[in-house]
Amino acid sequence: MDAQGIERALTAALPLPHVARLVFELGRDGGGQKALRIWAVMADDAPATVWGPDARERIRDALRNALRGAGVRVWPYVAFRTAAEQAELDAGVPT
Amino acid sequence: MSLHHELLEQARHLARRERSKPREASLRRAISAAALALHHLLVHELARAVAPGRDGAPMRPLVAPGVEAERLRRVAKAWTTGAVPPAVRAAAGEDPLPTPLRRFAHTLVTAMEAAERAERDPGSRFTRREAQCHVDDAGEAIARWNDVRSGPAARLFLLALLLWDTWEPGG
Repeated sequence: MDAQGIERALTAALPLPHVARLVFELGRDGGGQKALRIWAVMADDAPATVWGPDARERIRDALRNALRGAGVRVWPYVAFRTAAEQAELDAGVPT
Repeated sequence: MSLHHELLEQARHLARRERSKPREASLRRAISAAALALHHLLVHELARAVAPGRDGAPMRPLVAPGVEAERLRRVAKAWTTGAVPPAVRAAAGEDPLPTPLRRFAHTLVTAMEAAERAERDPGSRFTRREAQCHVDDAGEAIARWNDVRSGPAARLFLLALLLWDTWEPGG
């Protein structure tokens, strides 16, 4: 499946609680297998509870289910950032 | 304190080290230390399962070479997705995939991938919150392991770390 298909699948997973947007890239993991890296960009005003492991696991599950339902057979790696952090990265501010 | 707990503590320290602007090196090392904590947890547990005396300490150097990263990744992926060979499931006699263990395995896969990028890809970028999440997840995974460590499912997982290539050739 191509990037457009993945984007459609991820968009279909939204809205998710306090997730402002999703950023993704296709690549390979350390084992050489195809990998889909996803960053859930969390709203800056998200409550502290959404950063707990269980809340983040629910977001991961929702994204995995959406991808699986769309027939995406690439291993998804989901990480989390704040919207402010993503904005800095997008602006090219050195991290 | 065990090595894996020391590594986790180091990861936590590095993830919040600089008060305002975190250094890239601190975030990368935090992510790496968190993954290494999980690796050494498994070495610790494998040694302890084989020779419990002195908490397995004399056995650790002997089992550590057997916990090979690529096989660890394949086992953890298999446990995450439930792709355990039918013969292994049947021999286990009970559910080899309790939810806490599947979540542990999933965290392990994620941690390894993040650590590899942190250690080897200068083009990857990491944020403080991202690093803190990886560290928190490693801590949660260690707690989750402690919930299952005395059961047969955990012992089977540890055995898989050594024997996966014979159970699932090419898998």
